[in-house]
Amino acid sequence: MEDFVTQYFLKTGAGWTVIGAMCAVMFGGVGSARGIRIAGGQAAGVLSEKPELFGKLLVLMALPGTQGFYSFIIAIFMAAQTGLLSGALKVTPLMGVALMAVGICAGIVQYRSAVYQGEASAAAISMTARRPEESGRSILIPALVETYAVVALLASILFIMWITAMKVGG
Amino acid sequence: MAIDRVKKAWLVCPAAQAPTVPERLARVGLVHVAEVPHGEAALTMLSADTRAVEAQLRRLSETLDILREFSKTVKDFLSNLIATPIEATRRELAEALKSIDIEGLHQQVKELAARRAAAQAAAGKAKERLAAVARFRGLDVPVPAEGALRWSRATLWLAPEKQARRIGEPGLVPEGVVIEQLGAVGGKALVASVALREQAEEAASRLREAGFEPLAAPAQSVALGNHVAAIEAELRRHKQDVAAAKAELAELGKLRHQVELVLGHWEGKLETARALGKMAATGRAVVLAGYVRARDEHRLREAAARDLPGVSVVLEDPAAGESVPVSLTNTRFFRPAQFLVEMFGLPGYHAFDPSAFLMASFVLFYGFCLGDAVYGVLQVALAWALVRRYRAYPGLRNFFMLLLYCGVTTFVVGVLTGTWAADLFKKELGEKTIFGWAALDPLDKPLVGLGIALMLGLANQFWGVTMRMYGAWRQGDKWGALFDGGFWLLLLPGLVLLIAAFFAPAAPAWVSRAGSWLALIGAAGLVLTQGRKEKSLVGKLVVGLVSLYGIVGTYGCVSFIGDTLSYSRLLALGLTTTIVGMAVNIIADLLRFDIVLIGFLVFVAFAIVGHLFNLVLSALGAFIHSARLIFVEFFGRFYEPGAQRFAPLGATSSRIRILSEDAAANS
Repeated sequence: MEDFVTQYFLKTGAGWTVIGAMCAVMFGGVGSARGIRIAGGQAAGVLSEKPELFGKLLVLMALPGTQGFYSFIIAIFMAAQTGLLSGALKVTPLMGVALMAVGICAGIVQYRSAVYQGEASAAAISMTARRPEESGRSILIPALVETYAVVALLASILFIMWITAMKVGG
Repeated sequence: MAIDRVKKAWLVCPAAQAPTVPERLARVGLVHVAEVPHGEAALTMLSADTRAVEAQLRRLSETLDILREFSKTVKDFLSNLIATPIEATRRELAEALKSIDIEGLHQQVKELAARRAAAQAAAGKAKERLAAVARFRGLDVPVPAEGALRWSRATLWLAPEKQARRIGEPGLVPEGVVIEQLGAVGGKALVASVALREQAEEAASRLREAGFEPLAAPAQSVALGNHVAAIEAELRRHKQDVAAAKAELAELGKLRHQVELVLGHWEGKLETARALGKMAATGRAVVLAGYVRARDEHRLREAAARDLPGVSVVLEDPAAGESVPVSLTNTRFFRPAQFLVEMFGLPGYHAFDPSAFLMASFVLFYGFCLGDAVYGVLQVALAWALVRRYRAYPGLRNFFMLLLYCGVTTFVVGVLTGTWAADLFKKELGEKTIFGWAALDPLDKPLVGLGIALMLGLANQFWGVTMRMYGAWRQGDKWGALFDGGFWLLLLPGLVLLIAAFFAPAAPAWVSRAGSWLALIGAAGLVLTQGRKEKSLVGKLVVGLVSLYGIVGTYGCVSFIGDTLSYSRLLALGLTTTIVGMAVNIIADLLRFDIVLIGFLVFVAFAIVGHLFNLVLSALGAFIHSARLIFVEFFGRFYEPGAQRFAPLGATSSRIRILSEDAAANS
């Protein structure tokens, strides 16, 4: 156990990085699942009355699934930039802690935005049920919520790049 | 590859002919009936009494809902996804109309369904009673009937064995009540109580509170064994009733096809009846407004002369701001993409049909998300078989054709990334075979994969802005095309070059210089033009500046970055497909135990099932997320849906499709 801690948390930052990456995936994944459940529940109610709207509601139901992918991209990016994937580890403990913070913060944003997007999707599904011809416009409502998940993804990518580049200097 | 041109049609006839016009027009099947504009002076809207038709429709719908349960078809699943009308010849429809007694069948089906439900409920209750007492059938105990004893009441009780041990406790039952355990089996005890009539209620109440359940008393006192046998007989009787009702309903279920035909026919009748309510009258004449495809103008005039004597037809071009129903016609190759446009919503009449412009993007995105050569081959084969199987149903055929195209790109991306059922063939046949070759392995170089996904995103967003320019250009707004599209096509590539120069300091200096100039010219153009509708100079400049961010105007830098990053899902989905496939291969390999042939067979069986499972799940994700990239990111740049579908009276039904006798013979 002591060897493990020394190897992954004191000598290198691999352990911290893995925790950060998995936190991002965990929060994003759970958020997406909750968001899809909220939208799916609403869609199930509508479809019981209007099964012909299935095609129009499919994309609305799937919208909150995006944050799960963004989180996955963050995790992959962390793993790739720190050499976890290639085996050539290049991350110090301090960098690992910083990356962990990035992963947790990004994960929380992904989580909340997925849940909120699920709620916005549910509202858009109600709108589509009442006015099916407006289904195209209704997609834009939940899509707006996603902007902040994208901002978190972008910030994560930039911070991962900066943190991993810092090693060169120090 | 276009939105069909339509003409506005005015049909005018003497008032006396009005009631017959919709029906005769339905036979012609060329005119989409619209409401006569309320603003027309001196016109009174006609009223249509549709109650009788609606009552028939209600009966038919209820009948069909019940019969569906007893006559399931594979098409039920597919028709949930895409409207698939059933086919029939005119003769079949006429026979169905003759053979189906709507009221009689409705009554019969409802009675049978009610009988079945009642028998099911009774069987459920009998089953519960049987489960409670069956275990005690060996006990030689009489089950007293209600009121069998003159001065007292004897009752049998069931209780958990632990509770039954309490029968000796003082106060459990009133003084003078006799209570005794008769036996215990499987944790449950059978208990008998005898109480004077005046004490019986009190005793029963206390025993219930203590967790004892009374056994329902039979009509006549019988031995417990006989009581159980009687419940068993009752249960059998109820089950037989359920089976009999089910069999009769299944027999009637054979009429489902005819009932659907009749329902479709009556739905048409309802539309025809409603058309009467859309007509308007002057003192002596009646007018009906509608639309006809320009290519059918000739046929309408001929049909009017032949089938609508006394009706004058006036045709004109629709006005500029008019809400015109839309019909799309695409070439055979691009028709599958029309499926996506119809799924999202039809374009406005004065806009353009984006089907042909989105197809390449969609199938490419799908290929990236699924990206496996073996999956691609399987999908092409399956889609081809389904295209042939459902060639008579345009909706389904287009959907499967789209999947076929997607299968081709899936195969190509799979070959380029060296993914053949993930790494199955590479592991089994060796790295040095064709299966070991890859132009790019995204698992090895995920950042390169991410770069490619984002490049595709950039290209698609630029394509979307180009579409906006095309739309404006088509409508004669050449300056709008330049201001709302052209300047973004300078600013955004400029920004991309600047970002590239920032992250790659080794890039040649011209990249940064070109980026700066492009971004500067584009930004200046947008600042000066996006507020052009504002009145004051300050307003124009403020709106122009804010438009760069994206709150107002046609696009925005923030939206552009968000849209582009959204394409990173292409890599995520592609990796997910491959990683799940690799997991299947690892598990299949673990199952390949030492007995040579059997081990190999188990390996093959698991690999097939696992990869089929992965294919279905990943294909679903690939379809949904590729559609999302088109609907949200791409359509968001230029497309406004919401037009009404062109639906000629009498010619379109989502339920039935009438074939000519020749076509039926050929199919």
